[in-house]
Amino acid sequence: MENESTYRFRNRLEVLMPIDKPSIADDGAKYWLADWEWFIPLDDAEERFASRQRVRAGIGYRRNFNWRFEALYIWTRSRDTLDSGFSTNENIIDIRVKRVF
Amino acid sequence: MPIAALLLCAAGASAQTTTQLWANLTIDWVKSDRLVYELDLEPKVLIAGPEGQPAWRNLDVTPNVEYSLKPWLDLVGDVTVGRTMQTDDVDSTEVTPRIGARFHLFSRRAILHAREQAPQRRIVVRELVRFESRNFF
Repeated sequence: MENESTYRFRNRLEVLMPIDKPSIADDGAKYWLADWEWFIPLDDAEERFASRQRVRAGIGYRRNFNWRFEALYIWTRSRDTLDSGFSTNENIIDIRVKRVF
Repeated sequence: MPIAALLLCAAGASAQTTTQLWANLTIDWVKSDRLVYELDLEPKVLIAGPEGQPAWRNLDVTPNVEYSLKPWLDLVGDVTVGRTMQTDDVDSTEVTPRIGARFHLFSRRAILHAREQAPQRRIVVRELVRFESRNFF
């Protein structure tokens, strides 16, 4: 495989909302989360509008300060140029565990 | 009009769809309510893909540091080092450094006797912007 380097800009807008507690920072809180991220190549003018978009949605659980869990569905689509349609779709299940010290 | 409809259908049908399973194990070291070090381990595997394309599995390791400059602004930096192995033996290594900022729309407040900041509002809205340099070998 040939070596390859590219530069990219990423922007993600996130929304989180607690389900059963006043705040997502409360111990025992379950929460909904959703975000939308888009990726824009920077170093090729022809591919400037070539883009990837990613949407994530799921549920999280903060057991306590030390343990947090999330389960997400992620949908990603990509295209090579502005004129072409989105040619790649990805359906992803993401299981996340965070241990905080 | 019928031709346009057929072309649109063809474009949709030619889109390649994959199904993947990812996992994340993240370890955080909270040094203070402003500074956090993080190590993320992320294995990924292709469950289903277009016919003829090789199967693959991947492991990304990402050390990360986040510094809370203001209650509404975090500075973030990380480097992803990843290895992808495909069934056609075309394997690759990725090294991707990133820098960026996270903006907290409704800001946050320090929690007394705690090493974290809590959101000011029930609903949390934030924006993460990053620049990255992707390098594949």
